[in-house]
Amino acid sequence: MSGDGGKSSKALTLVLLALVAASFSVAMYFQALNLMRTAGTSTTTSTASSVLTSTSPAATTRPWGSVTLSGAGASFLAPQMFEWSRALTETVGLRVEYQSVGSGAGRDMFFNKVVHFAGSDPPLSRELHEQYAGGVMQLPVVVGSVVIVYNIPEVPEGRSICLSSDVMALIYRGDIRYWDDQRILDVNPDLRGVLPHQEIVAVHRSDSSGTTSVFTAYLNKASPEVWSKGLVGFTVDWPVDAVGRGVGGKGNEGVTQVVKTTPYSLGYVELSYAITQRLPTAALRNAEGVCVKPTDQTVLNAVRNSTAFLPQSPLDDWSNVLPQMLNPPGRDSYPIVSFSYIFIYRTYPDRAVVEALREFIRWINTEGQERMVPGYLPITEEVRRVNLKAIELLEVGGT
Amino acid sequence: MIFLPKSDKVVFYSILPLVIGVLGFFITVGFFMLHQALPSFMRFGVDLLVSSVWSPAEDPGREVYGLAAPFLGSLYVSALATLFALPLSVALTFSTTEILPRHVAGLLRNVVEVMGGLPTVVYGLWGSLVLSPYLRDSVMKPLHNYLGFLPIFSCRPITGYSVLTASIVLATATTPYVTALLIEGYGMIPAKYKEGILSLGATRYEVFKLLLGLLRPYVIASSLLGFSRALGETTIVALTIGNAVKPTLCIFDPTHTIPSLIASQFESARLYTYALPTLFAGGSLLLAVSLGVSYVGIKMIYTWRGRIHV
Repeated sequence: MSGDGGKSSKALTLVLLALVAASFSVAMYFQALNLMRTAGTSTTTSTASSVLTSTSPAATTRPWGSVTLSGAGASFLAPQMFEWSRALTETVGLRVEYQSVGSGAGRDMFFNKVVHFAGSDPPLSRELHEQYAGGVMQLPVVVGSVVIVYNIPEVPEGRSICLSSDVMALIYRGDIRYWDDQRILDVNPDLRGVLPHQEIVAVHRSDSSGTTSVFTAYLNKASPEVWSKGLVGFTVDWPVDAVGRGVGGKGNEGVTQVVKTTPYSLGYVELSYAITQRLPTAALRNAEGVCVKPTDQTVLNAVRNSTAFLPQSPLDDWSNVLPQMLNPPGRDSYPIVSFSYIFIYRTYPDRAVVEALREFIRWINTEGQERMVPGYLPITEEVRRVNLKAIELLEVGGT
Repeated sequence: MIFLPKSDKVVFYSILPLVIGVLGFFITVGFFMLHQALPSFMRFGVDLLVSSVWSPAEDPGREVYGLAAPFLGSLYVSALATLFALPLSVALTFSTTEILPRHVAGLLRNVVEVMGGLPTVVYGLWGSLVLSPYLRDSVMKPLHNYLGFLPIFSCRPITGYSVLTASIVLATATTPYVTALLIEGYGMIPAKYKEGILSLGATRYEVFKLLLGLLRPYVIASSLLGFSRALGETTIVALTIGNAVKPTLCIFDPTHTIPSLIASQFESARLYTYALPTLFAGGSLLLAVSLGVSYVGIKMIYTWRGRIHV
C-alpha cells in the first residue's frame, strides 16, 4: 500500500491476517466437531433438532399433525421410496422425504438422529444389533434379486444359457477363460457347438454396492470352496481383474452399459435394470440342480421357501436372514434374492412422529405393497405380519 | 493501512471479516481433510502411498487400503490430458488472435468459453457412451495390434473405458480453460514487440512463432494450472476411466484417480472403520499436489509479467 519501503509491513500484515484466520478456523472447526458429537453429523446439524421435534401447534385432525418423516439410505430403495412417498401424500396426507445417499451414509444419519428412519440393503450385523438391542427395529420392505446379464452374439434369442454358482465363481476368479469351457458346457449340454471359443469378460460394479454384497455372499454360500469369505463385501478385490479379463462399471447402469457394448461379457445387476435394458438374463442352477430363469414367480418362490425360519419380531437379529435366503430349497426357486430394510427406533420423544411412523409402517405393509415399481417385488404375507408388529412396539419416550 | 484516510479505513475494517472469513474457510477445509485422514495415516503409514489395494472388511483388523494406484492414476491422466490440451489451446490461440477476421475470432472465442462452462457430466456421458466404444474399435485395437510391444500399448483394450479415453475427454474439457489463459497472456505482450517484428516484414505465422517463444514461461504456467484443474475433475473421469484399483502404465487399461475413487466408494465408506479416513487421506494428497502445482504456475505468471513489462 505504501511504496517500496512497505514491503516488510505488507508481509507482516499478511502474516497477521493468516494467523487470525487460522485461529478463527481452528476454533470454528472444533466448534463444529463439538456440535457433531452432541447433535448430529457435520452437514445437517442445524436441521437435526428441528426435524426430530417438528410439530405445528395447529395440528389438523390427523394424529401426526404436520410432521414430515425424513429418511435416508440405500439408493436401491430410492425409486420405490419415491413412489410410496408420492402415493402416501396423495392418499393419507403423510409427507415422507427420502434421501438416496447410500446404505452407509444413511445409517450414519440415522444413528446420529438426523433422520427418522434409514434405508439399508444389509440388515445390522450381529455386533451392531447387540449394541442397539431392543432399541432399533428392522423391517424388510421390498424383495430384490440379482440377475446375470450376458452378451454372446452366437446364442440365439429365445435360448438362454444356464450358469451354476461354481461356474460363476470360477469365471469371476479368472479360472474359466473361454465360453466353450467344458465346465460351462456341462451345465449347458444343448449349447455345445453354439458357445464360441472366445474369452469371457467379467463385468462387476466398480463402486461399492449392496448388489455386489448380495452377489458375493451368494457365491460364498453356494460355492464356499471356490469363493472364500474374504471375497464377500460391498467392494471386492476381484481376482479376474488381475488377469486382465475383468472390468468395473459404475452403478447398475454402468454394468449394463459395459455388457451391452462388449461382446462375450457377462455381469450382475438388479432385476429392474435387466428388464428396462432388455438384456438377456441367464438362468441359474438352484440348490435342487434345476436351471431357473428370474421371474416374479421364481423370486417369490425363493422368498417363500426360505422364510420359514424368519425372525418373528422387528426387534430380533436379522443378520442371518441374507445367507439363509440365498440358494434356498425348492425346485422353482431363483437362487439370488434378498430383502432391503428400513431401520426405525423403538422410541421417539415426539408423539406426532410416532403416529406418523405407525401410519407409514401400516401403509407400506398393506396398500403400499400393491404399488410396486417394476423390478421390485412385494414381501410375503408372513413378512408383512412380522412388520406390522412394529406398530405396537413403537412408543413415545426417551430422547 | 494505518495511514489510510478515514473513509477508506471504515470500508477496510468493515470488509475485513469477509476477507478473514474466506481465508479462514479455506484453512478450515484443509485442516478438516487432514484431521479426518489422520486415523488412516496412523494405521497404514507409508503403505498407504506405496501399495494399491482396496479391501474393506467388517472386521477393522482385516481392512487394507493403499492409494498408490489412484494417486499415480491421477497424475498420469492429468498429465496426458494436459499434453492433449496444449496443442489444441495453442492452435485456438493462434487462430483467434492472428488468423481469423475479428468477428469470426470473437465468435469462436465465445464458443470456446461456453464449452468451458458446460456441466462436466455432459462431457462424461458423451465420453462414456459415444467416444469410448469408438476409441476402442478404431484407435485402441489397431494401436494394440501393431504397436503392442510398447509398454504403453501393451494391454488388451476390453471396454474402451481407460486412461486414454479419460485423458481425451478431460483434455476437451480443459482446453477452454488453458486457451483462455493463453489468449490473456498473448494479449499481455506489449504491442511494441509485435510492431517491431511486423516492421521487419514478418508473416503472421512468424509473428506468432516469435511471440510464442516470448510467451514460453507463460505457456508452461498455463499447462501447470490446467494440470491442477484436471487433477480435481471428478465426473468426467469417474464415467470414463473404468474405475479399477490397479496401477498401470498402459493407456488402454482401466484404473482409478483419487476423485473417481472417492466418488465410487463414498456411498458405503461409512460402513467400514478405515475406508472414510483413507478417502480423506487421498483428498489431502490431492489438495497438497494441487496447491503446490498451482502455486508454481501462478508464481511463474507473475514473474513473467514483471519481466515482459520493463
